[in-house]
This record gives sequence, C-alpha cells and structure tokens, in this order.
Amino acid sequence: MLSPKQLADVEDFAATLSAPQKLWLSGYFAGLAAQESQGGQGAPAQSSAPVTPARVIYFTESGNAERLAHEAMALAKPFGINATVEDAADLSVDDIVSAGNLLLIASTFGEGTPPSRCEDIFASLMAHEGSAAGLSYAVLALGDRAYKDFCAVGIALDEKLHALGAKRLHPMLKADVDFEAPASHWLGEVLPLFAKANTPAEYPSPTAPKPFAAAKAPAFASSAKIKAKLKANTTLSGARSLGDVRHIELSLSANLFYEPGDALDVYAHNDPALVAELRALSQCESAQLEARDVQTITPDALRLFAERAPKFDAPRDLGALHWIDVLSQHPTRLSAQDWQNLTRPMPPRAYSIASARAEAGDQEVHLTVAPVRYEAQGRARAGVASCFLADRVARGSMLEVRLRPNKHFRLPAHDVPIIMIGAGTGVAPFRAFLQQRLHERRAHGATGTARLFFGQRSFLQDFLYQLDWQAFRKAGVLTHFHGAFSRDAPQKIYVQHKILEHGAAVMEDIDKGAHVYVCGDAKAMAPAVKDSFARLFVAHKGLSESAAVDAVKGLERARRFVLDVY
Amino acid sequence: MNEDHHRDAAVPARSPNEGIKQNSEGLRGTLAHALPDELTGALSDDDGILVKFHGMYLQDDRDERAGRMRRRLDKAYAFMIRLRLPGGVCSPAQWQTLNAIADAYGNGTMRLTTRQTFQFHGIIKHNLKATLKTIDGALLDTLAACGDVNRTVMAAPDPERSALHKAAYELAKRLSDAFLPQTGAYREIWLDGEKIIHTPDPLYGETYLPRKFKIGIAVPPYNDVDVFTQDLGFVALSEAGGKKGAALKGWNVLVGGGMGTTHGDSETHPRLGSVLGACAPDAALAFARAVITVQRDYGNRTVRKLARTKYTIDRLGAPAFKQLVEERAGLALMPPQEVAFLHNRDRYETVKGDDGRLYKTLFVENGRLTAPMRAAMVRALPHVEEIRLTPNQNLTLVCRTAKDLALAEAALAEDFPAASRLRAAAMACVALPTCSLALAESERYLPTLITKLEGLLAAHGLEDKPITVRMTGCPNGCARPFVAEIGFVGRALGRYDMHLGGDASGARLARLYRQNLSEEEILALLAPLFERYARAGAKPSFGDFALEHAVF
Repeated sequence: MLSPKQLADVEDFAATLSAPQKLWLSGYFAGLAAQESQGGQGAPAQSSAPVTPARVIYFTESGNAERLAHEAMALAKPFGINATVEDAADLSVDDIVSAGNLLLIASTFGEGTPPSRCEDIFASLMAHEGSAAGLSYAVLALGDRAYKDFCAVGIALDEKLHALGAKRLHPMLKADVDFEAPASHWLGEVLPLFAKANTPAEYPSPTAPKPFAAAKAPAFASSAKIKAKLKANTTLSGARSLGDVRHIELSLSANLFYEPGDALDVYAHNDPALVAELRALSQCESAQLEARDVQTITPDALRLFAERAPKFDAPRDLGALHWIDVLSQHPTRLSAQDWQNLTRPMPPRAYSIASARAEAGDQEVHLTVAPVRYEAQGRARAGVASCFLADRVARGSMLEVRLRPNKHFRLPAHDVPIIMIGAGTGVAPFRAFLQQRLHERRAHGATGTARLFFGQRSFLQDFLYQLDWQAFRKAGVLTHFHGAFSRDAPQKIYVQHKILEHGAAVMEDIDKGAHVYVCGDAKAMAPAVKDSFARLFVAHKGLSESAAVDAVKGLERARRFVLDVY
Repeated sequence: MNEDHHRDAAVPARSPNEGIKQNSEGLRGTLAHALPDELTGALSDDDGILVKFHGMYLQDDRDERAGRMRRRLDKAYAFMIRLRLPGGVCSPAQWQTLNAIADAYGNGTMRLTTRQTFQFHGIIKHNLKATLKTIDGALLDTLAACGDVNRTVMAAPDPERSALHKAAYELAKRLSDAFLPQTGAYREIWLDGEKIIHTPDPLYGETYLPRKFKIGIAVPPYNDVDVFTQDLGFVALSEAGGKKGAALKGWNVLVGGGMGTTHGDSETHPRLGSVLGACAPDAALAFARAVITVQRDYGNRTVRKLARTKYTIDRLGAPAFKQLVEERAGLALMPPQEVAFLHNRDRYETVKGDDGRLYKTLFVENGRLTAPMRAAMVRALPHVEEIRLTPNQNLTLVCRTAKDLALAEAALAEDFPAASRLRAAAMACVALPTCSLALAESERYLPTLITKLEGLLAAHGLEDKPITVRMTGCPNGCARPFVAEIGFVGRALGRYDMHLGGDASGARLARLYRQNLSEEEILALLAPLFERYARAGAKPSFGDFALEHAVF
C-alpha cells in the first residue's frame, strides 16, 4: 500500500512517537479517510491560519474532563480550529445551545450524577425546551464502569442535544477510567469533522497540518506514572477505634510538583490470594490478573463469559458481583486472552494528598487511607487500592503512582480566610493546606484565618491527625477548630450541626472573603453541608430560602465554595 | 493578728497549688474558656487542679498511652466525675438518671466509691457540661467532691438503728451543705448560670484548705465508715448502748485520721483519728466548723504531702489543737464516751430496721457496676424505696415490704452473685488504667488475688473467716488498706507492700510486713500464716493473730 520510502518515513516517524501519540494519529488518519469517503477534500490544506471557531465545554468533578478539554483545544489548533474552553458550571443553557461547533466533555460522578458544581446547569439543560438547531456537537463522556449508570451524564447530554435538533457530528465516546488512549483516538476522528462542519462558505477550507507536523501535539498523560517507595504506614485510629485509618508516606523516585489540594493516583495490584483463586477457578494459570480490574463486570463481558460457560445463567443484578463471585458459582475454563477481554486494566484510585511540598519536600507524598473491608456474597471483601496500601505493600517496597491535579481545590492567597470542612479521611487535603500555610506564614509573617470542621465517630479514637492540628494551632495557621464526633453522645453530631452552631463566625469569615472547602463523603455530608450554608444565609443574612440557595451557588460559581467529595 | 487568718511569717514558699487557688477567682480559672476548645480533651495544669473542686479529675487511659503519639493522637484524656452524696443516700429516680449517664457519656460502668458516692469514668471534656446538667436535673451535684475542701461526708448506712441513721445522715447532709464552697463558678461554668461577682469564700477564703478534708460519721457497733481514718470523725452516742430504737445522745469527736503516705518518705504516715472529746447532738456543726478553720489556718501550705489534718494535729499536739477548736467553737468538749466497734464490714443478711423497712445489702465487687448489673438494678428499682451506698463499695436496698424485697431480689439475683466472705469484705481502689497516681493494678487485680487467697484459706478450712483484705494501687490509701487485716499497697506493676495486723473493726493500724512483693511471694508468705492461724483455732481475728505471730 505504501511505497518503500513512505514506509521508511512512517517507520522512522513512528519510532519518535509515544503510545498516546500513536493512538492520536490513528484517529487522525481515520478522520482524514472519513472526510475523503464523504467526498471531502483530500489531504488537508496546508494553511496554518486557525479559522474554524469551536467551543469545548466541560463538566468536571475531579478535573479530568477539564484537562481533556484543554488537551482537545491544543489538538484542535493544527486543524485550523480556534477552540475556546469553558466550564459548564459558569454557563447558561443559552450559552450552551447557541449555534456553533460544540465539543462536550462530561464526567459522570458516582451513581450517574453530574459533577456537583454542574448540577444546576445540567438540570436546566435537561429541562430546556427550545431548539438547538444550528449546533453541531460531539460528546466525550467520562465514567467508571464500576458504577451502574456508566457515563449517564454524557449519554443524557448527547441525547438531549440531539432531541433539541442539534447535529451530532460523531457518535459519542463512552470512556472508562483509563480514558486517555480512547479519548486520544476519538478526538483524532472528531476534530477533522469539526473543521469541516458548519464552515462558512467564505472561509477557507478546513485546514490541518501535515500529519507529521502534529507529532508534538498530544500528550494526555499530563503527568507520568512514577515509582514510589512506601516509607511509612502508621495507624491513625486509636487502639479501640471501630475504624482503621492509615497515614501512608511515599518516597517518590522523581520530583512531583504537586499542589495542596491535588490527589495522587495509586496503581494497585490485586491481592495475590484472590488472583490465585481466580486462576484456579478458571483453570488458567497464565492469566495476567495482577493489574486487571477483576471487580467490575460489564454486560459485554458477561455475554462473553456466557459463551464460555453455557450453563451460566446471568444474574439480573450485577451490582454487587465481582468476578470471584461469578466464578466460584460457575468455575469455568478461561484463556488468558479471555481474561484480557473480560476485564479492563485496573483503574488507579485517587487519594487526596495529605502533605504539602513545602513541608514534605518534592519527593515525598502523604496519603490518608481507610482500608475498605466488608462482607458481601458471603465473602470478605477488601478495597483493592486501600488494602493494597494498608496491608500488602511492605515498607520499603515500590508501587506506581501518578499525580492527579485538582485545579478546583486550591488555596487562595495566603491572607484570605479559609473554611475547611472534612469528614473522615476527607480531612487529608486540609493537612496539606495547613502545611502550606505554615510555609506561607514563614514567608509573609501572617496568614488568613483558617477554620476547620472535622467530623468522625469518636473524639478519643478517631481524631485523625489530632497532634498535627494542635501543632498547626500553636503555629497560628489553624485558628478555629470544631469537632463533630458522632458517637460520643446520644445525639449524633455531624459537621453540618457544628457549622450551624458556629454560624455567626462562619458568616463573618464569608463576609471577609473566605473560601470554603468541603472534602469527604459525597452522599450525605456534601448536601448537608451545602444546606447548612444556605441556612446560614437565611439566619444571618435574612435571605429567603431560595435566595439563600442562590447565594451558596454564587459562592460555588465564584469558586469560593468547592467540593472534593467521593 | 486576725486569728482566723493566721499565717506563720517564717514559712518558706507556699506550694504552687496555693497560688493557683488564690488566683482562681473562686475556682473559675480559665475553665469557661478551656471547655469549648475541641482540639484537646485536656485542660491546662492550673485548670486541672481547679476542676477537682468541681468534682472531677482529668485522667488519661494509661492502657492506651503507648502508641498514641505514633498514631498522632493526644493522650486519651477523659474525666472522672464524682458526686457529692452525703451519707450515700439516693432515690430510685436519682439512680435512674445517674444510670443513664453511664451509657450516654461514661464508659458504660458506674463506680461506687469507698466514700459512699458514685464515680463515672471516661467522660470526655466535651460531654462534661451535658453530664453535669443531667446530674443537676436529679437535684444532685459534684461540687467539692474532690479538691482542698470538705469532701462528701460519709455516714453509716446503718439499717437497724433507723433513728441513729437518720441523725447521722442528717448531720452528714448539714455538714456537707454548710461547708460547700460559696462560689458561683459551678453554676456558671457547668450549668450556664448567670455570672456572679466573685467575693472571697466566707469559710475558706481565697486559698481554701491546705488539702482535702474528710468527715465520716459512725453509728456503733459498726465502724463501716472507718471513722478512725477521717480527718474529722463523729461517733454516734446513744442511750441504752445503741440498742434498736435508741435515740441520739451526742457525738464523740475524732480528729486527725488519714491514710495517705508517700513511698520512701518517712515523714508521711497513716494515722488514726485522736478522740478529742464528745459534744451534744446540736453542737456537731460548730465543732466541725472549728476543726476546719483550725486546719485552714494551721495546716501546712508549703508541703502538700504534709498538709492533711493528721500532720497539723501531730505538729500542734492534740491538747493544743483541742484548745483551738474549743476557742473557735465557743464551746467546751465533754469527755468522750467509751465505744466498742464490732467490725467495719458490710452485712449481707436482710435486716429489718426499727422503721419497719427491710434492708438488703448487695455485694458489688470493688464497687464496679457493669452494664448487666446496672440493667438488673433498673429492673429492681420499681420495688425499691431508697438506695444507700455503703462505705465498703456496696449497695443497700431499702424496701417497704417483704414482697417488694422479694421482687427486687428476683430481678437482681442473676447479676449480683453471692461471694465468699473474704471477697465480700474486700475493697480495692480504681488504680489502672485511669488513676494517674496508680503504681500498680488494684481493682483489676484484686479479684484474681482473692480467688487465690480463697484457695489458701479453704486448704486450711478457713473459708468462713471474715478477713478484711484491701488493696490500693498507690500509697494514697483510697481503699483504706492501712487499717485492713491484710493490706496491699502498690509499689510497681505486679509489686505490693503487704501490711498485716489491722483489727477487724478498723481501730488499729496494720503494720508493714514485707515490701515489694510479687503475687508468688504474697502467697508464699500468707500460706504458712494461714496454716498457723488454723492450727491456733482461727482465733481471735486474723489481724490480731498476725500482729502477734507474724515476724515484722
């Protein structure tokens, strides 16, 4: 198909490419081929003037969608697309459905819910009844197959825009937690379509650079995996605690320029005992399962499994089932390749970083990890990553990690008051915050007030990092501490109760421009905290209930009320 | 010089506690400010001293100490809260309230003390106010249950001589109320009471007493309150030698008893109260006030371990002390009456009082009421009219009728098992893990040792001999080991000094027999003594026998 020279050029060029770049190029060529087959122009024009406007709008929780949006913008440039990147949380429905080229990148969070900051715009968009004709769009949906409603938000957005009459340029991509490669490939297909679609006649033809010129563009893995050595694994919970929370210290093999608020992706390996059991049950000693997700079972995988196990009657509800449950019920011979097809690579698990570089140095990261242990399907279950860190990585041995930046969860200037609200291990980033403030205090002589609301079960047994907080207060960087210990008295006290109890002081902080940070449980705590702030606006500012809710939303839009919940 | 505020110009620097008391603004200190601090379960050192006057000790769980710092946790600080319960009398309704506190805020247990009151352990700082408000709701308080003041006043719970008990109990209550610190601090800090302008305490002044002050009232022929161990003791004198139905005639007055010593400090020692004389029934309050003010003004304020009344009376001499007391009371003491005590134990048989009610004492090992025991008590309460805490860490139920008592006993039987006479007469202080003074185990260890002693005694057919065994984890002497027939005083983990030869009525000090003994050594030393005691016909009491025959 190729001339010897072409082939040699390609091979030479390929040798310079990283894996994501190769994937991106595969999509790029596929896109070019699609254009040609639709009667489009052959090779893209060589003009480098960006002329096609496009908007990249993201719905992000942890920052992945946002990061992808910026990557997409950079990737679009060589195609002559002048893309802007916008956060859906900052937009109105009209902003989104108005005519133009639209690339939507949308994360689904937990059980099919939109990112917390985007709840309003998502709801408004779903309720919208106007027309979106004149809009050309494509949706890149991010999700996690371990959850039931995989990519639900992206799917809903894709269908809604279609229903509103917008033009779907390309089938949506539903990307799992290892989204980088598929997203790279998909964008390679989609961007040329944007370049072509809706292009006003008077504009020059969509342009793209020579394929080889794009070589420097894609690099989604914005931070690479690095090796880390487990330096310390100490229990933070008291000897009589009902829980078990660990303080994990990692020494990194390279500098990692993390900021307070960032998270660290940990690449866990499965429990060898579990792997051995799976191998035995599938009579496949060669199965490479250490770094595969052997919990999540997708419908596709189930169909594949049913082919290997003819007597297998697929259970209706897969929700709580892991492969070990299925296989122990139906031991079935599988090949190593079957296992490859049945499972996805182990997704990394993100932990909020509990240290600041200013204190820990560029090659050390602290994490706060609660090993997940429970019983299900008659078996003891252990959280893959949490128990990997807590139980299986010996001190001094290595593991792989990667920085996961969390741009929304950042400290303000050193003199701005902060209110930190964390339950359980959700208090981790606040240790990083206060370490940073310690550093800032040394530099500036003073720091803004810092108020910490901490929720846990027992004051005596579960007061994570109690001595650290005491030291922060002594140093002047923690000015107010409010503990909500739910099991210490007959009346269960949670952080929201403490927020209300100290409402006047909290609102004073807000008046002084305080930034509010909420970290921890997404299901119960985060909504309760939001609600408590709305109640403070009612009680202390005389706002109506709806105005108070708006006031909290206003803080969110101003990025003064941010969540890192899970 | 104002006699009431006598100060010896030659005394060296006062003990630091004196300054803390003086600067406390009527026991307030910085408590109101410290309580809302949720970052620590502790108090400042000064507040830690002041909070005792409010009836609580800051402690930490010593079992947990090791490793907490590595876990980035502060010590497991929690409070012991002690009630002021003169005479140890409480109503079933009050019991209910206190019982609920153990679950809501405490560690699930209630502790009956050697001074007839309740203690809760494991109450964290953030629950103190709620606990004290609950106690206040039951018309009870904790003020002056600890600290350098007159503590809760003991009174023999004697069931048979109801008239004398009534007199003893009423005196206990009067004394306890009369000598309460007059400060608004308690209501202000714990009960959200209004802030009252501080004025010096009319009785105690700004520095209160040099040390704790204990009063006990005995009703012969029983010395269950261990009247000889009290700073101030009253012994009920009655007509007809204390027969049933007898009325009160007056009180013998004893001064200067006390148990506390310090290991290795020969200046400290246990002491039995000196009988100063006797007084009329209605003169007790005046004499008590006089004794307290003499101790206030003459007690040692430079060396705390020499500050108890016993050292003051030793220093002044009993005649001089007596003269000061008489001057201040404006009354002369009469000659004391000879009184004979039978013993200082509790009696477990059902007793009918001369008020017609039925009295049943339940054995509570070391005073520790566990959750099942508390639950059983709650089931029994509907049939109970009154509850008395005994000086031996036990409970006396007062029932109107035999049917009531039967119902109450049925509710309790399973969770209050009977014990051997040895066990039923034994006492131990709390010690580890909560008491900060403890050098050795006490409450958690004595039951094991008793089991082994039971074996030794049974081997010689002595299982029915009532011998008082008492143990404390330190030489402070809360379980009054220095007047026991066999007293164990902790020196270090697993090591005890053994004292022998107290008499059965608590009227004689035991003598130090051997120091620093392991359990093995204790048993090896007692076995031959028991054997010889058995061979001697197990007479007279073991304390008497040991004093005579053991080689000290």
